Amino acid sequence: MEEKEQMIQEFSESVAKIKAELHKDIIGQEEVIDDVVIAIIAGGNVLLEGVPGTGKTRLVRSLGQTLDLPFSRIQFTPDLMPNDVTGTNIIRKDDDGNLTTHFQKGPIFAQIILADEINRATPKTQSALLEVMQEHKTTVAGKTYVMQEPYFVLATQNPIEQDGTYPLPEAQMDRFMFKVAMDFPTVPELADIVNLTQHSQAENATKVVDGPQIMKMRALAQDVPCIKEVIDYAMTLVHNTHPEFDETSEVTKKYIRYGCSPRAGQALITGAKIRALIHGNYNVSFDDIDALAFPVLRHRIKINYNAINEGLSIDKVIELLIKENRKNR
Amino acid sequence: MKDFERFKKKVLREHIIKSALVGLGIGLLAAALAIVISFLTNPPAAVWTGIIAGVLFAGAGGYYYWYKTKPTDKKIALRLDKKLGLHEKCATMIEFQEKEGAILAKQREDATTTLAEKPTKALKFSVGIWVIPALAVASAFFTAAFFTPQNANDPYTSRVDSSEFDWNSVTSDMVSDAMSHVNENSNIASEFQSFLSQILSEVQSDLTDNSNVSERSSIIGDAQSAIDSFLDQINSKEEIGKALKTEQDQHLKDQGDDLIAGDIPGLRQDFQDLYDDLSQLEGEALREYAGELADQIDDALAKAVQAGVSEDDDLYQTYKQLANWLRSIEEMPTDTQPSSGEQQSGSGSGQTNYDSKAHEAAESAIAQAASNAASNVNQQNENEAMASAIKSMMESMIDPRPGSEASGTEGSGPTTEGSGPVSGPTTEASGPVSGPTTEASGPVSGPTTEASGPGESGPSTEASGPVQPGSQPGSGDQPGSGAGPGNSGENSHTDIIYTGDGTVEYGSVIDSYGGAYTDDHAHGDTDDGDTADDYFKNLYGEDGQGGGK
Repeated sequence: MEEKEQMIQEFSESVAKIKAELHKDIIGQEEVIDDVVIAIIAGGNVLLEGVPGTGKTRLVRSLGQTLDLPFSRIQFTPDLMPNDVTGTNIIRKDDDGNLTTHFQKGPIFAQIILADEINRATPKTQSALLEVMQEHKTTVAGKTYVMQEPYFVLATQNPIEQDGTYPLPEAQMDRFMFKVAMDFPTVPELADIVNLTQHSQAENATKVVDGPQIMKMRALAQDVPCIKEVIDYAMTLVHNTHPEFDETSEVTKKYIRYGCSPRAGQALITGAKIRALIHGNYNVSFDDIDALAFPVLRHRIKINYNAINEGLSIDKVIELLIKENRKNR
Repeated sequence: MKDFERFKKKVLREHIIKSALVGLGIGLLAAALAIVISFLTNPPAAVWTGIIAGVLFAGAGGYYYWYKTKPTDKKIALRLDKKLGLHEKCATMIEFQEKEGAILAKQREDATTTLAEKPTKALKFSVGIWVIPALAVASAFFTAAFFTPQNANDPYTSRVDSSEFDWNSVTSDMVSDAMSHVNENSNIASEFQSFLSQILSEVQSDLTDNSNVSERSSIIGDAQSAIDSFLDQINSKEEIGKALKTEQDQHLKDQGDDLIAGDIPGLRQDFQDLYDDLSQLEGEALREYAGELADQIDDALAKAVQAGVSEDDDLYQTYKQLANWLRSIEEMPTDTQPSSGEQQSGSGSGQTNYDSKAHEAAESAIAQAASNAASNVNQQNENEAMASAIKSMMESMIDPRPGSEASGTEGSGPTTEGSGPVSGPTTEASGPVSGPTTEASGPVSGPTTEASGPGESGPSTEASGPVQPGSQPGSGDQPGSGAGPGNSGENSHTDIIYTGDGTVEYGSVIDSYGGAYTDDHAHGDTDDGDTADDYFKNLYGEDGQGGGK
């Protein structure tokens, strides 16, 4: 019991340290940092979306330094091949002069993977990440390799430049726990960013948490209690994104083309437990669900022509869904 | 948990109040429904029905609501979380209170600490936004129920606006009609007449400016009860009849039955039968029988007095006189010599002078008693008929509006069979009454009076007590001076008499003829010629000189 209490104490301290280190390199973006930390502890993958220069790559690099985990970056381009990602068997001459095959591990064999501008690679290459993102293992030439835990894929993409890009298929999108939108900084934040990078572009974050600590934090978060009403509330929200059901709301029927998968429900509850702990609570609340609804649902539901025509963003539609769902509390 | 219990008590108190309000609403609705139904079916019961239904449904509804919606700990916790902004700390604490773990322990500690910081009054009293409007609607229905038109199922009545109806004027007219009816009928007892006039005046006074049918019904009900009570006081035939039925003599028993039934012809027949039996007796047997009859009548009268009959009652006096007369027959001095009259006539050989005088006295006494009793019973029958008629007229005063069940004055008059007895006794008077007045040539020992002639009608009150035997010559040879058959005293016209000087008169004989004719038929006498003969004899006298009228 005492050990657990100590773990609770350490959890708060670790989260505080991670956030503090990240803030050394990232100005503002409080929610983004929170969501990324939640995903890291939960073992989920994150898709960071934002216009160029908002600090997506810097955030992930800084995170890699903070967590004291092997980090690798893959710059996705149209000519990137799957083997460039997963690795490949090469023929090598040994000391005796015999030729042998040797598996050259790709960048995904690190524990923190930055898939930069993931939508620029072809679907074939993007698919190379499917297995490793979900199952934390990859199969090359009939041999399966298991990744070391903790394992994360953090991808970035630019929402503006769509020429020569390959939008991620829904199956792959669903494998990201969160899609985090990085907003353009405010004027004071811009000024701070400029000041911060005048002397050096290098990240300043230092290692404060290691892999085993992350795993302990994940295990601890699983014990956070969540009452039935909150679970029902979250599942209703997920279910209510499907316009094909008769009982769904008018908002759904009017603005949503198709809804999210059951993974959204898992992500909501898992993320809500960690969010509660991060905010100093020991139970999941309705507010946790509402807060995480945006990063969880954002990339899992598809709005239809009506929403686009009325100028509604995906976040606005999610906001309407939450408002609708609150009536059922 | 202590702090949670603090809030729980408050929530449960609130729930009790809410249940009471819901019960009140249900009770008001139930009462409204009951009142509406009562007004449509049984208006006087409306208020009580409403109260009973309201109380019952309020209790049952309140309890049902309390039982069905009683908040659980979890619901209370969820409400606390929502209202106090506790981020589901309370609900989690309650749901996971049976489980153990470091995080759960921390969670409980956190929830308890947070809850302890909140004052009880932070949870505001709430009964639900729908309760007050629902209660207001229920109250409105309840109030509106009292404006339900009575007998609204009658489409005509429901259109009559109570406020536009002239209650006082119509009621006054109806009371005047009833007054006139009472005053026009002189056959009823005078004290009853006065009483009816008085109670009608009181009813009119009480009903003035009162359009509440329920209250009017109550007033009329009280007045009807008063009439019944007074009628019971002044009518003695039932008590005397019952008393006579307890005696051994069959004639007295029969008279008792007919008194109770108010059957005047039957009563006269009973007296006739009594006389017939008595006339068959002679000597000591006659004396003894007369004495026994007197004793039994006295005994019956004593029982009647015990039953509440006044000694001043007319019917009581009639029987008292009969008993006295029979006693005088018993006490007549014995005389064994046959009377000269009897010897001359050749009839009744062996009869003593006593027998002859006793028979004459009995005949006269019984005839007089029959006449008086018929008159008394007739009056009491009239009283009953009048009471029934007035009560019926009063009934129509409850709600005199057109279309109401009790409204209308048509057919409510007291013209009942009570008019029958008026002619009854006059036709029956052709029995023993006629005998002594026409045939008695010797000294009359009985209560023969000048009103004993044939066709003597009704209650001749001039008849005095029994004349002492042998003390006064009989006057039966004189033509009867009574009013003639059928003179009930209430005829408004006279018989048509074509006199020598060309004038025309109308009298009561013509009216009585109709009654006599009817009565004869009722008793099996279909010989209309005899009835007509009686009529003309009464009209013009036995000798055709018009002595009857």
